[in-house]
This record gives sequence, structure tokens and C-alpha cells, in this order.
Amino acid sequence: MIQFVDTSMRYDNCVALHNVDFEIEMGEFVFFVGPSGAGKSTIMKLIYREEKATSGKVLVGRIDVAKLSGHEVPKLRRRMGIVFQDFKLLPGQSAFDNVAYVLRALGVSPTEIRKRVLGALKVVGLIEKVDATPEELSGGEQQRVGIARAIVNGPAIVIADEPTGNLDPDSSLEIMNLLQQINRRGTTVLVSTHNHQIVNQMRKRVIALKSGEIVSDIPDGAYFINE
Amino acid sequence: MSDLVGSLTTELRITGRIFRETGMGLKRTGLMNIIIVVIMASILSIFGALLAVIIEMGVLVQNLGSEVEISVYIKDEANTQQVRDEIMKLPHIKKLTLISKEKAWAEMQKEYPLPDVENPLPDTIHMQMTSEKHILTTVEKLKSLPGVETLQYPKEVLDKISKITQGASIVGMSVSFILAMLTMFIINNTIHLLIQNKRREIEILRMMGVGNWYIRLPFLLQGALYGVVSALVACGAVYFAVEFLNQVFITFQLQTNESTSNIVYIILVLMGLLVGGGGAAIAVRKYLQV
Repeated sequence: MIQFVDTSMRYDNCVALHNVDFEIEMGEFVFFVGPSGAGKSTIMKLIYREEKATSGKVLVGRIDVAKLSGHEVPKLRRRMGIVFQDFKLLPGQSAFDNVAYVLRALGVSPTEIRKRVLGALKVVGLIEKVDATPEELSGGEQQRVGIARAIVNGPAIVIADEPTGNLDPDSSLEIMNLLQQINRRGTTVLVSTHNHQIVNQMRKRVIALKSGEIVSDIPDGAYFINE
Repeated sequence: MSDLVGSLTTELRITGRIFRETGMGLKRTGLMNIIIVVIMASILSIFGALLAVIIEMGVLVQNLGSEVEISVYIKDEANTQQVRDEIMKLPHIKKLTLISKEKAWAEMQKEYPLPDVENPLPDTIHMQMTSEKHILTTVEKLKSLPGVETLQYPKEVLDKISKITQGASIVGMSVSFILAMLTMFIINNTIHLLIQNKRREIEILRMMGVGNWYIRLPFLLQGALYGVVSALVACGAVYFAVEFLNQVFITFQLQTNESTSNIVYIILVLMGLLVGGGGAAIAVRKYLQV
């Protein structure tokens, strides 16, 4: 379970989150929506402990992430997979190498790396393009590689911060369907997005934020329909 | 048991990757590697040569000091044996010889055609100290002895050598300190650029839960490697400098110090590691948030 208990976050004089409370069960698919500066990205960063809450608690699986020491943070992040808006792929390196990059750094054996990377690329539908470099892939395909990299370590939670921000509508829908497919395998998926259409189509839980506060928490994605 | 083997294999793979990342960092730095090593090796060579000179001068002063003779002239009315016994009680005496005034006069008469006059010479004690640093304190103690008329020793020579050594030490250390700071600054900037260059990789590794040391170590190793390679180049330069110094010492029939080179080599490698690794560590601490 992911739990925010009366959580606030300040950056200098700017309030990014104000007394936020919510719970997410493991295996859920949750959208975080709201205008720029609403606090969506801050929530993501607090979950993977890129930031520490100014007050209140952020619990991930009963662990207060703010209390983790410097060397415990990587262990927390290994239970998560992060998908970036700008894909963050290594230029000039094949899709295989991009997905394998972190596994190599974690000391996974070459046989295991091959098995896991090909498995992840199969999930995202890029098994035919293992040798393609980011320059040879479309935006949607690049984000698929990014998702393959996020799931290759078998994370319990996938966090995607504006994963469709740089994509056209068709590719955006494909990416969301892919995240939904990953969610169906039991992985908790948290997505922050501006994309109203997709959120309405997906009919998942939507937590809407405005000026650092939760304005609605709707289980079936009716937020934008009623807007 | 199999868990232990598995974990050891994983650690070995990670270590291998760290070295690989270091190699890739060096490859990315390109021509700048050579510039850094040349600058750092030049600085360490200057430092090493100065250090060698300081050590050799120190040894020279010590050797000269222990060879320097203090001549103590005994008063006519004093009991020479008593004065000699008093002097013998002083510490750090290497050698002490008593020359009676009769013996000295006889030897003088042998060497020079002297008229038959009354022996004007006093009883004399010639002494050597174990080290030059005990000369001044001993001289002061000797002056206070009642039976001592006067004494002689090559004060000016010792003072000059001491001053030269002290001056060389101060100049050498100041120059080396400034140059070491300059080198650290260059390495710090190079590692900073490299961190900027690897921003994307670092972010991916951080976000995917790769250990902090895996991210930091390649930069630190690169800095340390600059230090060690530069120190080895500087050791070559210092070898020739010490050989030259030894030749000068031998020409003037002065004793050379066999261990100078070894001491300088060890200090150079440690200095290289400190400056190279230190420069990288500052950059990692300042610019690499993990």
C-alpha cells in the first residue's frame, strides 16, 4: 500500500503539496491529473524518495520513505520502475542495451539479462527491434523501450510522470494501453498526465490536484467527463 | 553456500562494470586526459625534485654537523682532567680527544721552524657531536664551564646550510601547495564536465535503484588514476634529478643518501592519489547528487 498521511511539501516559499491524504492499494492503476504546478510530479518524487516531505508521512509498503538512509533509497527504487516523459534513452545504444543498462549495473548475469530484456521487450511489443537505436525508433517506440526498462527488474510499482507528454494521440493511447496491460499482471501503476481524453477513456481511479491540494478522488475516471 | 557464491559473483560483476565505466569515462575525456597527466606530472616532478633536494640537504647538514669539530681551549690555571670529566658528562658526544699543550707545541715545532720560546698553547679538547642539532646547545653548556677559556666551531657554515635548507623547504612547500591546488582545480573541472556529460546515465541509474557507490566510484577512480599515472611519470623525472644530485655530492666527496629516491617515490604516489582522488572527490561531492 502507498499512503500519504497529511503530507505537505514546500520548495522555498512555494507550497507544492498541502496536507494531502490518500491511499493506493497494491495492484491499483491511478491517474494523477491537474494543471501544471498542481503537485502531480511532487507526489511521484515523494514516492520514489527524490524529495522528502516537509511534514506528514509517505508510506510505501508500511515503510516511511523519509526515514530511509542514503543507501536504503536505491533498495526502495529497485522495487519501482520509473517511466520518464523524455524517455531518457541512451543515444547510439540499441533497445536491448538501453533496457539491459541498469541490470548490468546491478550485477545481473549475462544469461539472466538476456532472458529478462527479451521478455520485457516482448511485453512492450518491440521484440523485432532489439537492435534498433533510439534514433531509429519513433517517439512511441522510444517510450516503449523506456517502459521495458522500467519493468525489466520486475517492480511492484511503475511510476510514469507524464509518459505521453511528448507523444501524438495514437502513440499516447498505445502507451496507456501498455501500462494497463502491465497493471493487469498485478503491478501498481501510477501515472501523472495532462491528457484528459486518455484519462476519460481508461476509466481508472483519478486523483485530481489543484494548487497542491486534492480536489477530487474518483474511482472510475469520471472527473473529466463531468468537468 | 550457493547464495554466498552468487552474491560474490554479483559483486565481482559490479566491480568489473565499475572499472568498465571508469574506462568509458577516460575514453570520453579524450585528449584532456593527456593534458591533465602532463600538467600533473610536471607539478609532481617539481615537487619531487624539491623534496629530493630538501631531503639531501637535510642529510648533508646532518652529516656535516656530525663531522664538525668543536675545539675547547682550557684555561691555564684549570685542571684539564677535571674539565674533561665535566665535558664527558654532556650528552650526544660522538668523539672526544684531549690534546695536551705539550703535545700540540711539539707537533707545531715539527711543522714550523719556531723560536725557542715558552709554550703559549693551551690544553685543547676536540669533540664531535652525534648530530649538528646538538652543537649549539652543547656550545652554550661548554661556555658556562669554569675551566673553559674559549671555544671554536664553524658556526657560519652551519648557519648558512641550515638557512638554505629552511628556505628551500618553505619555497618548495609553498610552490607545491599552490601547484597542487591548481591541479585539483583542473581535475575538479574535468570531473564536473564528465558528470554533466553523463547526466542522463546517472539519472537512469539513480532512478532505477543502482547503488550510490556504483555511480560515484568511476569518477573517483578516474581522478585517482590521473594521480597515479602522473606520479609514475614524475618518479622517472625525479630519478634523474636524484642521480644528478648524487653525482654533485660525489664530486664534492659528500655522502649521498641511498633512500632519498624511495622516500620521494612513495610521497609522490601518495601526493598523486591525494590530489587526483581529492579533486575528483570534491567534484563528486559538489556536482553529483545521488
